[in-house]
Amino acid sequence: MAAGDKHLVEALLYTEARLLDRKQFDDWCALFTEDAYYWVPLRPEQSQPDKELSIIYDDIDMMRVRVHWLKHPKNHAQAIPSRTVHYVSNVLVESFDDERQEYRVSSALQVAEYRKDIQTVYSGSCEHLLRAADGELKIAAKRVDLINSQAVLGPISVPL
Amino acid sequence: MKQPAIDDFGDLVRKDRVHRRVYTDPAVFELEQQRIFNRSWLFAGHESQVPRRGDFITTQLAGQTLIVIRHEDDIKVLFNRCPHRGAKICETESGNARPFRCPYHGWVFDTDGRLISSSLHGDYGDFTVADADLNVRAVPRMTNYRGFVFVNLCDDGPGLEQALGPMMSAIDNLLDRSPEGAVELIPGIHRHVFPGNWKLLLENISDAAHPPFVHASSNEAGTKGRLEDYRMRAEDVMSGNNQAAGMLGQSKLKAFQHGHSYLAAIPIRIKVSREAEQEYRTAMVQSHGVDKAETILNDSRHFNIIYPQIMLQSVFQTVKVLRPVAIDRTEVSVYVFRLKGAPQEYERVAVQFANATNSSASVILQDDLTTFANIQEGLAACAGDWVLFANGYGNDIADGHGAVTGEGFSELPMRSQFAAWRDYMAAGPSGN
Ligand code: FES
Ligand SMILES: [Fe+2]
Repeated sequence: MAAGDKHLVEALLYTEARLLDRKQFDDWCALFTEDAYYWVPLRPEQSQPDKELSIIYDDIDMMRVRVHWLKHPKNHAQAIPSRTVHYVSNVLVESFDDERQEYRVSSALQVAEYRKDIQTVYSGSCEHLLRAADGELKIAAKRVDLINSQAVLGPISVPL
Repeated sequence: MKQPAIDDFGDLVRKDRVHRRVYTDPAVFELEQQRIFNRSWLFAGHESQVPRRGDFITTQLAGQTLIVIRHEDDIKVLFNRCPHRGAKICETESGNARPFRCPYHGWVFDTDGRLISSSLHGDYGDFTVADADLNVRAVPRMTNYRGFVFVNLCDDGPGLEQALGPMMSAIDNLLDRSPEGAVELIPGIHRHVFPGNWKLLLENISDAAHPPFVHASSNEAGTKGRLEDYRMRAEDVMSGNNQAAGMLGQSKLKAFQHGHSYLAAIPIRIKVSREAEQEYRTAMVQSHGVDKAETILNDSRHFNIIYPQIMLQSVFQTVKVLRPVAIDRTEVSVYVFRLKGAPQEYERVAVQFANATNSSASVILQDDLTTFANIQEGLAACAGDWVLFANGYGNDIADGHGAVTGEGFSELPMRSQFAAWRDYMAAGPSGN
């Protein structure tokens, strides 16, 4: 791992946050590898997405379906669109796999969402698996553990 | 026109319409709690949630905090209230209660609620641990039907099988889809909330007319988002949903006494690999025989409504349970089951389906929840007092034994739900 890597890692996470806040959802998808998944587990210690329920467990195709839906003119949940701010902090490169060129990165995430006179705040910890390939750094996996994942939740329309 | 009085249920509910107050008046909500939810059979949990002695879950039904606990070989459902000074005995959502001890003054109970020892020393008159009044109180009635734990908070009225009548077969169908005739809860419960009346959810469950409007966005996204290399994913469930949307007009509806109903004949199937399906069918035939296996797997009921609380989809191994919180607020819990003895793929696909359709982030569910909120806001307006359920009225076919059949977009289930609603509400307060 080189000295400038931390900077690159942070830049990618901040870019992701900004694309989501600007609703550039196709560009957001383009940050992910084709084998990527986006996971919001129901249970904090959850390790098996196939044997337990999750709030979200999307592969890249499901992410694209989600984005299609978000942009669809007849989408009711976003007929009155949400405004969001994604805050990313406490970024730490946990490990680097030299052979696979993969960084395991943890961060703290807070998403403030405003819709229909109501402001909702989602908080959680985040784990990104970032892979460097062909001179580009991409997201190979993203996991968001919401602190209230097991609470009774209203609709979560916007990607976290 | 004169406003119907709150307790004039004949006037609030007519044959093909109801007065909007049934959705908006907090006084109606209070009466519903006493007269409907306190007297119906309610789903409290599944025995696989409490596998070992002393294992418990806590839950809320009809405004009561309850403990579902594994005693010896059986399951008890107790009020979560200490007989000493009323503290909740189990504080967490689940755990093991051995010792089953009150956190306030340390009274200890057996797992059936019997008081074993108290911290009281000194002069308490006639105090004795053998006094049955000092046990944790059990609910008036509970029935464990093949692992499904049902509770009735009223000590009289029909038993579970009589009250559910033809809907017992919906529970059987879910269980019989397991080659071992048994299911286990898949860990995790999808829980969501919407700012609307509970009846809106039941009405929507068998509303065949809404998907082309409410779900146009997710249907199209599922179809367009599909890639060439076909794989089995939840996305396919959504495009399957799209295909089903065209079939909805040909669906069959059947309504029964007490507000139960089902919507059938929609060809939605969980997609699994050919190998897994073959393995599963072989196992099914081995344990049930050819004919029974066919009957079980050909059951085409898409949604079963067990009034007033349960929505059951045996094809997707799913039980959805509602909890009215206020006249304009409803919580929903979704339980998904693993079929014992079925290939692992069936579990994985059930999980994918649940995540795609019943998670609070589901692109399908969100459009429904948003619609419920819109209806609730719309109903607050005084413009026109009646909500219509007239579609198909006049084409209903009664079989003379309490069952009524309708087709396609008929609003038969809503009419049947409100007939039951009126009967419950007019019957007055429960014995408890
Ligand atoms: S309230 Fe439970 S021991 Fe006193
Ligand atoms: Fe719907």
